[in-house]
Amino acid sequence: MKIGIAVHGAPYSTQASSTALRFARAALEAGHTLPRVFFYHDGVHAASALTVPPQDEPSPQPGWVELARSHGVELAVCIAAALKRGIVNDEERQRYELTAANLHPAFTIVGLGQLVDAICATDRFVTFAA
Amino acid sequence: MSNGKRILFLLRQAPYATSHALEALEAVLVAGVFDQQVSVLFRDAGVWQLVDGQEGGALAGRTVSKVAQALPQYDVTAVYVCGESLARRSLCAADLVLPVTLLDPAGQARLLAAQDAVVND
Repeated sequence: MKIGIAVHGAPYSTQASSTALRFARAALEAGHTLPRVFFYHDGVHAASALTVPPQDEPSPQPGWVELARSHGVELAVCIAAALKRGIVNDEERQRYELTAANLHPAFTIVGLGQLVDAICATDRFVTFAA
Repeated sequence: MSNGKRILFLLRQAPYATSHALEALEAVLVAGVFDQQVSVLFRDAGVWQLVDGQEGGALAGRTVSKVAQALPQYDVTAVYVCGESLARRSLCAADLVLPVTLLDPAGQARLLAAQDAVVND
């Protein structure tokens, strides 16, 4: 089965990202495919390359990156939600003349239409709300 | 892209305490133009998003009820509200900026069961 996932809660502030990651791993282990994870609302903070997790508090980000690399899962970050929260790729850094970009290279900035596309292209869609 | 999925957005958050309501409504509007069968269910504190007489400018922000009011222009005409959530807040359908269909819990259960996908806020 093709499964789509949306993550709406920020890592650390909420359990949404970690729970979504564990669900994603379980779905892949069970033989399902996971074309895209869509990060929206505060969920976009999962894509920052500038987080420094304390040693005893594991971050979900390495897990997301591993899913992208080993299973080809697209980690899609909503552009409107991301820019407002200071999650910026190099293209947007240049467009808005910002001093730095911080999007982790495993993540992609996309439009909100990709959320609808993710829903339409999958058999089940699961939201991990804040 | 026009397989016409039945997509329900469940909006349960108050309009101004967080950015959730506004961003969730923006997602509904986008889904509306994608030629899908989009519906919205406002319940719990989410019913406040629809109450008339809001002025978001006082908070230097957008007026959430005005964004909600645009739903029909984006082909989202299936707007449902939990009747109990309204009543518990001493609100009624006449207080809202849009014509809506009130649903009891059984009606909401049927609505949810009829969807291909439900997007929780």
